[in-house]
Amino acid sequence: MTNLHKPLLIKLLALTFFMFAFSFALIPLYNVFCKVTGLNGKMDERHPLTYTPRYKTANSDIPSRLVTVEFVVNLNQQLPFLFQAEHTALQVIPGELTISSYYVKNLTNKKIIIQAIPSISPGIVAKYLKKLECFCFGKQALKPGEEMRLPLRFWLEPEFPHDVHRMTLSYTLFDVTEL
Amino acid sequence: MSYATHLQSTHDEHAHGPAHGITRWIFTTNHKDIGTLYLWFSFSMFLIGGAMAMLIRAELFKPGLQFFEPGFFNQLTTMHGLIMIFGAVMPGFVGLANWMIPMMIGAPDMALPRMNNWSFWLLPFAFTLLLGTIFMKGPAPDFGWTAYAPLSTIYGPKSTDFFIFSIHLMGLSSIMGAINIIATILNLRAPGMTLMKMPIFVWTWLITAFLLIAVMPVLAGVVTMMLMDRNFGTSFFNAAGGGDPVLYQHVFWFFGHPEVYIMILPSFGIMSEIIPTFSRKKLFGYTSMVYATSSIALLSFLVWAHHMFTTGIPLVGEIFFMFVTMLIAVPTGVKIFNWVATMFRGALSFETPMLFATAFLVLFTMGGFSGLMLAMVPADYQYHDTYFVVAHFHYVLVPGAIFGIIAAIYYWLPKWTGHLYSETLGKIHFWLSAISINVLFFPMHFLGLAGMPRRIPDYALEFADFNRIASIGGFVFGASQFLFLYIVIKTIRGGEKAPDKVWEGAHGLEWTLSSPPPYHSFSAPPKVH
Repeated sequence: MTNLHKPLLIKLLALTFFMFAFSFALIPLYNVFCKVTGLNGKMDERHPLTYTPRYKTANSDIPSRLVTVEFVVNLNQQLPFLFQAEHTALQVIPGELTISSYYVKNLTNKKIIIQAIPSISPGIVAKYLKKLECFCFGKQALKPGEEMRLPLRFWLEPEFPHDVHRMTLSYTLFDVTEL
Repeated sequence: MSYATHLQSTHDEHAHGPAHGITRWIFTTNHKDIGTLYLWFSFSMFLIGGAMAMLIRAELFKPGLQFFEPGFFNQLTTMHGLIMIFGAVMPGFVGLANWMIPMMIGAPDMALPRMNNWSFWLLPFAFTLLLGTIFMKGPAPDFGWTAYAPLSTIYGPKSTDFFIFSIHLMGLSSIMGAINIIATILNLRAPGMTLMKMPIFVWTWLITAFLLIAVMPVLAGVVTMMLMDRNFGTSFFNAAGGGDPVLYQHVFWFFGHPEVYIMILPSFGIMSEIIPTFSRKKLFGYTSMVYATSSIALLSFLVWAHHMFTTGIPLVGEIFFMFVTMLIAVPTGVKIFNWVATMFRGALSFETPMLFATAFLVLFTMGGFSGLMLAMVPADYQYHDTYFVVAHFHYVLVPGAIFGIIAAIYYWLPKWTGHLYSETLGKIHFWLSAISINVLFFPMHFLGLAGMPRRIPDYALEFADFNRIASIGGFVFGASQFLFLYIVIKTIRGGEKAPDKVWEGAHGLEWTLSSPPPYHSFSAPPKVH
């Protein structure tokens, strides 16, 4: 290689390595972007949060309205578990603390560690849903045949968009024993 | 532009001629030899990928399962896509770049000849890894060429790891090829050959090479994440571990959309050489061609999510990606306008390269229009993952990329071999290809609009007629390519002697060299005025 090409070659190789690194940097960028904007149904899962009852926003006189929150449960890859929500749907006043729970039972004869992953639809309301307590914050280990009641306490921010009257909170249960 | 043509006399062919036997091809550092290797490799992959397409069309000839299990059908569609993209189209363009760029800019060879040898010889190994999976126990990759997670991670067959390493090798090969092309263009131009005097083919390849360097590492990154998810317990795309499968699509299409321009920009360059030659006019709007190509390349980084409108991205995102996608129609329209304006009131003649170029112009524009239809979010919800998408990307890739390569081969084959090809046979090849390709792909628009999903081995009865028509077109198109092979071999072996300037209206340094050109193109740089 002559000296003619060396400086250019170094620049082009640097660009190549930069783009390879950039592809990995896209992962945290994507997660931060989604959490900040609340896109893609991702929630800010920082906890513990503190709850202060707040029914009115500064610039809204509407004291209360009802939002229907639907609870959906899924089992990933035919996980042999019983997984049920206490309520299929609840009428929720934005600003008010709501308490619900889920029931889960291990139908296998093995000890299985589970992790629930939430998803919210429409994704845009994810940033207005705040969880005080959620089983999805951690993993649960269930012995063979063991059953468990999983708590959920959440509220919707009073700034919850006025054109959304119905939202879905879905939990998918994953087997993370080997993860 | 005019060129000094007194140079061949200084050339000593006996001292620098090629080595003999197989070692000539294994150890070669000559840009013409490597270009030839690339082109033959590309053609053999075109036949293998084409054979898979024939099997797919045979299965779809009538409803019901005829020949294959659905699992094998999925492997066929996956392999067909991967082989055609990474094996046929991309190496085909790199082969043309190797042959033509040094001759067009007045360079003796490529800038980094040994790396050039390596970037070619990685490819046979990469494709042995990929094609080998068909013969392994268990299924070959069966998740589509896009390899979406979790189909390729949690559900991927064992052979997926071979797929990943073959993608790594192809990426290395493409990146090294691109570095070489950039170094050649930026450092080895003849005196007087300023950037804005370069042939458009060289320009489009310069931009393509930068696209390759920008996105092939991203593809390497995303398949590396896939490898880690599969084997090292990470959770990039696994929701259970905090990852996100939709993220795979974002990173993949960040590579994937510039990739589609990698497969078409060199073809734009070829058209910009062929159309002026057979119109016997200068290219209309040279400067605007350069800027249009650059704008297409830059915009290609801002449109990736139009492949993902139905994944639930928010409305504001859909609107952004819809408008930016439609914006690409502006520079593309500039290019189409310039080609038509070049032909307008030109002294046109329709030799085989020009026939393919004209077909490119018409059919690529149609593919572009169906792309605009797909860019519209509300319409895309209807078209997504149907045969309409298959029709769209085959219209831009086959009459776009493939016709571009075929036109370039007819255009420069007399220069490469020193023999004229048979114009009659070339025209027969053109008409067979151009008619059969429309019989093959046009009915797919109707199938898609009627709701036939893609990547499905069986279909509802109402789709039977159009599928049968498409299959017949496919078989004719496939068979016609053997005529092309015959024409090329016949021309290499002999034929009427080609003059140095093969085409009356041609301009460019390559036509100042003898036909066939000396083994080392310009040992002393020509003067460009």
